[in-house]
Amino acid sequence: MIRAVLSTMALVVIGLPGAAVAQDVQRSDAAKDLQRLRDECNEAMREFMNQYQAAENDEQRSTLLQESYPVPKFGARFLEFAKKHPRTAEALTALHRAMQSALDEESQDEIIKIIVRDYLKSEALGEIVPAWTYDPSKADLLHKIIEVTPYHSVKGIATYTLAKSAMRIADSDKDAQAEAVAQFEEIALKYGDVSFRNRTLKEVAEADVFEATRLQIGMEAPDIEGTDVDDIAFKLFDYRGKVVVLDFWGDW
Amino acid sequence: MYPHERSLVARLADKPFALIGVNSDPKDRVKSAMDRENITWRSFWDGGSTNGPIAAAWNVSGWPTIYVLDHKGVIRFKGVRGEAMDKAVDQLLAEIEGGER
Repeated sequence: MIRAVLSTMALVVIGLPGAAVAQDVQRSDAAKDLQRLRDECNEAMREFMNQYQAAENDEQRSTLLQESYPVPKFGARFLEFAKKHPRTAEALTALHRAMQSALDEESQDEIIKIIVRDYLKSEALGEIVPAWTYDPSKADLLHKIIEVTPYHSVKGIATYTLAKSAMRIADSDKDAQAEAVAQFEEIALKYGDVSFRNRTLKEVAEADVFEATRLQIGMEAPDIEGTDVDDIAFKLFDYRGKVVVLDFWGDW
Repeated sequence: MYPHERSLVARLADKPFALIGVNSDPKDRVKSAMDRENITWRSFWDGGSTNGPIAAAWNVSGWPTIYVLDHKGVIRFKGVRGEAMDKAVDQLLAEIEGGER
Protein backbone atom coordinates (compact mmCIF):
# COMPACT_ATOMS: atom_id res chain seq x y z
CA MET A 1 0.00 0.00 0.00
CA ILE A 2 2.71 2.44 1.03
CA ARG A 3 4.77 1.38 -1.92
CA ALA A 4 1.85 2.02 -4.27
CA VAL A 5 1.38 5.51 -2.91
CA LEU A 6 5.08 6.19 -3.20
CA SER A 7 5.27 5.09 -6.77
CA THR A 8 2.22 7.17 -7.64
CA MET A 9 3.93 10.14 -6.05
CA ALA A 10 7.10 9.38 -7.91
CA LEU A 11 5.15 9.46 -11.16
CA VAL A 12 3.63 12.79 -10.22
CA VAL A 13 7.09 14.16 -9.45
CA ILE A 14 8.63 12.81 -12.63
CA GLY A 15 5.63 13.96 -14.58
CA LEU A 16 3.80 12.42 -17.48
CA PRO A 17 6.51 12.71 -20.13
CA GLY A 18 8.74 10.42 -18.09
CA ALA A 19 5.98 7.88 -17.69
CA ALA A 20 5.26 8.01 -21.39
CA VAL A 21 8.92 7.39 -22.19
CA ALA A 22 9.03 4.42 -19.82
CA GLN A 23 5.96 2.96 -21.49
CA ASP A 24 7.43 3.50 -24.95
CA VAL A 25 10.58 1.65 -23.96
CA GLN A 26 8.48 -1.25 -22.71
CA ARG A 27 6.42 -1.25 -25.87
CA SER A 28 9.41 -1.23 -28.18
CA ASP A 29 10.93 -4.10 -26.17
CA ALA A 30 7.82 -6.13 -26.91
CA ALA A 31 8.00 -5.13 -30.57
CA LYS A 32 11.67 -6.13 -30.76
CA ASP A 33 11.03 -9.45 -29.01
CA LEU A 34 8.19 -10.19 -31.40
CA GLN A 35 10.28 -9.28 -34.43
CA ARG A 36 13.05 -11.59 -33.20
CA LEU A 37 10.58 -14.43 -32.72
CA ARG A 38 9.12 -13.88 -36.19
CA ASP A 39 12.59 -13.85 -37.77
CA GLU A 40 13.51 -17.03 -35.95
CA CYS A 41 10.27 -18.68 -37.07
CA ASN A 42 10.75 -17.62 -40.71
CA GLU A 43 14.34 -18.87 -40.66
CA ALA A 44 13.25 -22.25 -39.22
CA MET A 45 10.55 -22.47 -41.87
CA ARG A 46 13.06 -21.73 -44.65
CA GLU A 47 15.39 -24.39 -43.34
CA PHE A 48 12.54 -26.88 -43.09
CA MET A 49 11.44 -26.16 -46.67
CA ASN A 50 15.00 -26.70 -47.89
CA GLN A 51 15.18 -30.07 -46.14
CA TYR A 52 11.73 -30.98 -47.41
CA GLN A 53 12.63 -30.17 -50.98
CA ALA A 54 15.89 -32.09 -50.66
CA ALA A 55 14.10 -35.19 -49.34
CA GLU A 56 14.35 -38.10 -51.73
CA ASN A 57 11.10 -39.96 -51.13
CA ASP A 58 7.69 -39.83 -49.47
CA GLU A 59 8.97 -41.69 -46.44
CA GLN A 60 11.63 -39.09 -45.74
CA ARG A 61 9.10 -36.34 -46.34
CA SER A 62 6.60 -37.79 -43.92
CA THR A 63 9.29 -38.30 -41.25
CA LEU A 64 10.35 -34.68 -41.69
CA LEU A 65 6.76 -33.47 -41.38
CA GLN A 66 6.22 -35.49 -38.22
CA GLU A 67 9.50 -34.68 -36.52
CA SER A 68 10.72 -31.31 -37.75
CA TYR A 69 7.73 -29.24 -38.91
CA PRO A 70 8.44 -26.02 -36.98
CA VAL A 71 5.02 -24.36 -37.02
CA PRO A 72 3.40 -25.89 -33.91
CA LYS A 73 6.53 -25.33 -31.85
CA PHE A 74 6.57 -21.65 -32.81
CA GLY A 75 2.82 -21.43 -32.27
CA ALA A 76 3.44 -22.36 -28.65
CA ARG A 77 6.13 -19.69 -28.41
CA PHE A 78 3.88 -17.02 -29.91
CA LEU A 79 1.27 -17.91 -27.31
CA GLU A 80 3.92 -17.70 -24.58
CA PHE A 81 4.97 -14.29 -25.89
CA ALA A 82 1.37 -13.08 -25.77
CA LYS A 83 1.05 -14.18 -22.15
CA LYS A 84 4.29 -12.40 -21.27
CA HIS A 85 3.15 -9.10 -22.79
CA PRO A 86 -0.53 -8.91 -21.87
CA ARG A 87 -2.77 -6.21 -23.36
CA THR A 88 -0.18 -5.02 -25.89
CA ALA A 89 -0.84 -4.75 -29.61
CA GLU A 90 2.09 -7.10 -30.15
CA ALA A 91 0.43 -9.78 -28.02
CA LEU A 92 -2.65 -9.72 -30.25
CA THR A 93 -0.44 -10.07 -33.34
CA ALA A 94 1.30 -13.01 -31.63
CA LEU A 95 -2.06 -14.59 -30.74
CA HIS A 96 -3.03 -14.33 -34.41
CA ARG A 97 0.15 -16.18 -35.40
CA ALA A 98 -0.46 -18.78 -32.67
CA MET A 99 -4.01 -19.28 -33.93
CA GLN A 100 -2.71 -20.19 -37.38
CA SER A 101 -0.18 -22.66 -36.01
CA ALA A 102 -2.08 -25.94 -35.72
CA LEU A 103 -1.90 -25.94 -31.92
CA ASP A 104 -3.77 -28.44 -29.78
CA GLU A 105 -7.33 -27.70 -28.70
CA GLU A 106 -6.35 -26.62 -25.22
CA SER A 107 -4.01 -23.93 -26.55
CA GLN A 108 -6.63 -22.80 -29.07
CA ASP A 109 -9.10 -22.38 -26.19
CA GLU A 110 -6.52 -20.43 -24.23
CA ILE A 111 -5.98 -18.07 -27.17
CA ILE A 112 -9.72 -17.40 -27.41
CA LYS A 113 -9.92 -16.79 -23.65
CA ILE A 114 -7.16 -14.17 -23.83
CA ILE A 115 -8.85 -12.48 -26.79
CA VAL A 116 -12.16 -12.37 -24.92
CA ARG A 117 -10.46 -11.07 -21.78
CA ASP A 118 -8.26 -8.37 -23.33
CA TYR A 119 -9.18 -7.60 -26.93
CA LEU A 120 -12.95 -7.71 -27.46
CA LYS A 121 -12.92 -3.98 -28.17
CA SER A 122 -9.69 -3.93 -30.18
CA GLU A 123 -9.68 -2.49 -33.69
CA ALA A 124 -7.10 -5.09 -34.76
CA LEU A 125 -9.71 -7.84 -34.29
CA GLY A 126 -10.73 -6.99 -37.85
CA GLU A 127 -7.57 -8.79 -38.98
CA ILE A 128 -8.32 -11.87 -36.94
CA VAL A 129 -12.03 -12.62 -37.17
CA PRO A 130 -11.94 -13.71 -40.86
CA ALA A 131 -9.98 -16.76 -39.66
CA TRP A 132 -13.23 -17.90 -38.00
CA THR A 133 -15.19 -18.10 -41.25
CA TYR A 134 -16.93 -21.49 -41.51
CA ASP A 135 -16.18 -22.20 -37.83
CA PRO A 136 -19.60 -22.61 -36.17
CA SER A 137 -18.03 -22.77 -32.70
CA LYS A 138 -17.05 -19.08 -33.06
CA ALA A 139 -20.56 -17.80 -33.90
CA ASP A 140 -21.38 -16.70 -30.34
CA LEU A 141 -18.04 -14.93 -30.02
CA LEU A 142 -18.63 -13.11 -33.32
CA HIS A 143 -22.08 -11.98 -32.15
CA LYS A 144 -20.51 -10.76 -28.92
CA ILE A 145 -17.86 -8.78 -30.82
CA ILE A 146 -20.52 -7.20 -33.06
CA GLU A 147 -22.39 -6.18 -29.91
CA VAL A 148 -19.50 -4.58 -28.04
CA THR A 149 -16.97 -3.32 -30.58
CA PRO A 150 -16.78 0.45 -30.93
CA TYR A 151 -15.34 0.04 -34.44
CA HIS A 152 -17.46 0.18 -37.61
CA SER A 153 -14.78 -1.83 -39.47
CA VAL A 154 -14.70 -4.67 -36.91
CA LYS A 155 -18.49 -4.79 -36.81
CA GLY A 156 -18.62 -5.01 -40.60
CA ILE A 157 -15.97 -7.72 -40.91
CA ALA A 158 -17.49 -9.82 -38.10
CA THR A 159 -20.94 -9.50 -39.71
CA TYR A 160 -19.47 -10.52 -43.07
CA THR A 161 -17.72 -13.52 -41.47
CA LEU A 162 -21.04 -14.72 -40.03
CA ALA A 163 -22.79 -14.23 -43.39
CA LYS A 164 -20.15 -16.35 -45.18
CA SER A 165 -20.74 -19.18 -42.71
CA ALA A 166 -24.52 -18.83 -43.08
CA MET A 167 -24.15 -19.13 -46.87
CA ARG A 168 -22.00 -22.26 -46.54
CA ILE A 169 -24.53 -23.85 -44.16
CA ALA A 170 -27.45 -22.87 -46.44
CA ASP A 171 -25.98 -25.19 -49.13
CA SER A 172 -28.99 -26.00 -51.31
CA ASP A 173 -31.70 -24.74 -48.93
CA LYS A 174 -33.30 -21.96 -51.00
CA ASP A 175 -34.78 -20.00 -48.07
CA ALA A 176 -31.54 -20.03 -46.09
CA GLN A 177 -29.69 -18.97 -49.25
CA ALA A 178 -32.04 -16.06 -49.82
CA GLU A 179 -31.49 -14.98 -46.24
CA ALA A 180 -27.71 -15.09 -46.65
CA VAL A 181 -27.99 -13.07 -49.88
CA ALA A 182 -30.05 -10.47 -48.01
CA GLN A 183 -27.29 -10.33 -45.37
CA PHE A 184 -24.61 -9.73 -48.01
CA GLU A 185 -26.72 -6.99 -49.58
CA GLU A 186 -27.13 -5.31 -46.21
CA ILE A 187 -23.38 -5.57 -45.54
CA ALA A 188 -22.62 -3.94 -48.90
CA LEU A 189 -24.92 -1.07 -47.93
CA LYS A 190 -23.97 -0.60 -44.27
CA TYR A 191 -20.29 -1.54 -44.25
CA GLY A 192 -19.37 -1.14 -47.92
CA ASP A 193 -16.59 1.34 -47.17
CA VAL A 194 -14.64 -1.05 -44.89
CA SER A 195 -11.31 -2.33 -46.30
CA PHE A 196 -11.07 -6.08 -46.51
CA ARG A 197 -8.18 -8.08 -48.01
CA ASN A 198 -7.13 -5.41 -50.53
CA ARG A 199 -10.74 -4.79 -51.45
CA THR A 200 -13.82 -3.36 -49.74
CA LEU A 201 -16.68 -5.16 -48.02
CA LYS A 202 -18.94 -3.73 -50.76
CA GLU A 203 -16.88 -5.48 -53.44
CA VAL A 204 -16.58 -8.82 -51.66
CA ALA A 205 -20.21 -8.92 -50.49
CA GLU A 206 -21.45 -8.07 -53.99
CA ALA A 207 -19.27 -10.87 -55.38
CA ASP A 208 -20.92 -13.24 -52.88
CA VAL A 209 -24.35 -12.09 -54.08
CA PHE A 210 -23.23 -12.62 -57.69
CA GLU A 211 -22.02 -16.14 -56.92
CA ALA A 212 -25.25 -17.02 -55.12
CA THR A 213 -27.54 -15.60 -57.80
CA ARG A 214 -25.62 -16.20 -61.05
CA LEU A 215 -23.13 -19.03 -60.53
CA GLN A 216 -25.22 -21.88 -59.19
CA ILE A 217 -25.70 -25.29 -60.79
CA GLY A 218 -28.47 -25.08 -63.39
CA MET A 219 -27.79 -21.40 -64.20
CA GLU A 220 -26.41 -20.18 -67.51
CA ALA A 221 -22.81 -19.15 -66.88
CA PRO A 222 -22.08 -15.46 -67.46
CA ASP A 223 -19.63 -14.62 -70.24
CA ILE A 224 -15.96 -13.96 -69.61
CA GLU A 225 -14.22 -11.56 -71.96
CA GLY A 226 -10.46 -11.39 -71.69
CA THR A 227 -7.14 -12.11 -73.31
CA ASP A 228 -4.93 -15.17 -73.24
CA VAL A 229 -1.26 -15.18 -72.24
CA ASP A 230 -0.34 -14.06 -75.78
CA ASP A 231 -2.68 -11.04 -75.51
CA ILE A 232 -5.20 -12.53 -77.93
CA ALA A 233 -8.78 -11.61 -77.01
CA PHE A 234 -11.37 -14.35 -76.60
CA LYS A 235 -14.63 -15.04 -74.81
CA LEU A 236 -16.10 -17.91 -72.84
CA PHE A 237 -19.18 -17.69 -75.11
CA ASP A 238 -16.91 -18.61 -78.10
CA TYR A 239 -17.12 -22.16 -76.74
CA ARG A 240 -20.90 -22.53 -76.96
CA GLY A 241 -21.71 -25.93 -78.40
CA LYS A 242 -18.86 -27.54 -76.48
CA VAL A 243 -18.67 -29.00 -73.02
CA VAL A 244 -16.35 -26.70 -71.07
CA VAL A 245 -14.27 -27.29 -67.97
CA LEU A 246 -13.50 -23.84 -66.59
CA ASP A 247 -10.45 -24.13 -64.39
CA PHE A 248 -9.23 -21.26 -62.19
CA TRP A 249 -5.62 -22.22 -61.70
CA GLY A 250 -2.18 -21.05 -60.71
CA ASP A 251 1.22 -22.64 -60.90
CA TRP A 252 1.92 -23.03 -57.18
CA MET B 1 -3.32 -31.78 -61.50
CA TYR B 2 -1.47 -31.18 -64.77
CA PRO B 3 -1.11 -34.85 -65.75
CA HIS B 4 -4.82 -35.51 -65.21
CA GLU B 5 -5.92 -32.50 -67.18
CA ARG B 6 -3.40 -33.25 -69.93
CA SER B 7 -4.78 -36.75 -70.36
CA LEU B 8 -8.39 -35.50 -70.31
CA VAL B 9 -7.62 -32.99 -73.07
CA ALA B 10 -5.75 -35.63 -75.09
CA ARG B 11 -8.49 -38.24 -74.71
CA LEU B 12 -11.21 -35.80 -75.85
CA ALA B 13 -9.21 -34.10 -78.61
CA ASP B 14 -11.81 -34.94 -81.29
CA LYS B 15 -14.87 -34.30 -79.10
CA PRO B 16 -16.83 -31.06 -78.63
CA PHE B 17 -14.89 -30.31 -75.49
CA ALA B 18 -12.64 -27.52 -74.26
CA LEU B 19 -10.64 -26.99 -71.08
CA ILE B 20 -10.43 -23.26 -70.46
CA GLY B 21 -8.20 -21.88 -67.75
CA VAL B 22 -8.28 -18.64 -65.82
CA ASN B 23 -4.73 -18.11 -64.68
CA SER B 24 -3.68 -16.01 -61.70
CA ASP B 25 0.11 -16.07 -62.13
CA PRO B 26 2.43 -13.34 -63.36
CA LYS B 27 2.83 -13.69 -67.11
CA ASP B 28 6.41 -15.02 -67.18
CA ARG B 29 5.46 -17.63 -64.61
CA VAL B 30 2.39 -18.89 -66.47
CA LYS B 31 4.34 -19.03 -69.73
CA SER B 32 7.14 -21.08 -68.22
CA ALA B 33 4.58 -23.38 -66.53
CA MET B 34 2.85 -23.91 -69.88
CA ASP B 35 6.15 -24.82 -71.54
CA ARG B 36 7.38 -27.02 -68.72
CA GLU B 37 4.09 -28.89 -68.24
CA ASN B 38 3.20 -29.03 -71.91
CA ILE B 39 -0.09 -27.21 -71.31
CA THR B 40 -1.90 -26.96 -74.62
CA TRP B 41 -5.19 -25.52 -73.47
CA ARG B 42 -6.01 -21.87 -73.49
CA SER B 43 -6.23 -19.66 -70.42
CA PHE B 44 -7.58 -16.22 -69.74
CA TRP B 45 -4.77 -14.30 -68.13
CA ASP B 46 -6.20 -12.65 -65.01
CA GLY B 47 -3.76 -9.81 -64.49
CA GLY B 48 -1.01 -11.69 -62.70
CA SER B 49 -2.47 -12.13 -59.21
CA THR B 50 -5.22 -13.89 -57.30
CA ASN B 51 -6.93 -10.50 -57.02
CA GLY B 52 -7.53 -10.40 -60.78
CA PRO B 53 -10.84 -9.12 -62.19
CA ILE B 54 -12.18 -12.47 -63.43
CA ALA B 55 -11.50 -14.33 -60.18
CA ALA B 56 -12.98 -11.38 -58.27
CA ALA B 57 -16.16 -11.35 -60.39
CA TRP B 58 -16.55 -15.12 -60.02
CA ASN B 59 -15.89 -14.84 -56.27
CA VAL B 60 -13.05 -17.34 -56.40
CA SER B 61 -11.19 -17.67 -53.10
CA GLY B 62 -9.52 -21.06 -53.52
CA TRP B 63 -7.44 -22.52 -56.31
CA PRO B 64 -8.09 -24.58 -58.28
CA THR B 65 -11.80 -23.77 -58.59
CA ILE B 66 -13.61 -25.82 -61.22
CA TYR B 67 -16.89 -25.23 -63.08
CA VAL B 68 -18.19 -27.65 -65.71
CA LEU B 69 -20.57 -26.19 -68.33
CA ASP B 70 -22.70 -28.13 -70.78
CA HIS B 71 -22.81 -27.32 -74.51
CA LYS B 72 -25.54 -24.74 -73.88
CA GLY B 73 -23.35 -22.88 -71.42
CA VAL B 74 -25.27 -23.99 -68.33
CA ILE B 75 -23.30 -24.65 -65.13
CA ARG B 76 -23.81 -28.36 -64.40
CA PHE B 77 -21.05 -29.24 -61.94
CA LYS B 78 -18.79 -27.39 -59.52
CA GLY B 79 -15.61 -28.41 -57.74
CA VAL B 80 -15.19 -31.77 -59.49
CA ARG B 81 -11.62 -33.07 -59.60
CA GLY B 82 -9.90 -36.15 -60.97
CA GLU B 83 -12.22 -39.02 -61.79
CA ALA B 84 -15.32 -36.98 -60.89
CA MET B 85 -14.31 -34.41 -63.52
CA ASP B 86 -13.93 -37.14 -66.17
CA LYS B 87 -17.33 -38.59 -65.29
CA ALA B 88 -19.02 -35.16 -65.42
CA VAL B 89 -17.54 -34.36 -68.81
CA ASP B 90 -18.37 -37.79 -70.24
CA GLN B 91 -21.96 -37.45 -69.05
CA LEU B 92 -22.34 -34.03 -70.73
CA LEU B 93 -20.75 -35.29 -73.97
CA ALA B 94 -23.16 -38.24 -73.95
CA GLU B 95 -26.04 -35.76 -73.66
CA ILE B 96 -24.92 -34.07 -76.88
CA GLU B 97 -24.58 -37.39 -78.68
CA GLY B 98 -27.98 -38.50 -77.38
CA GLY B 99 -29.57 -35.41 -78.95
CA GLU B 100 -31.24 -32.52 -77.18
CA ARG B 101 -32.73 -33.45 -73.87
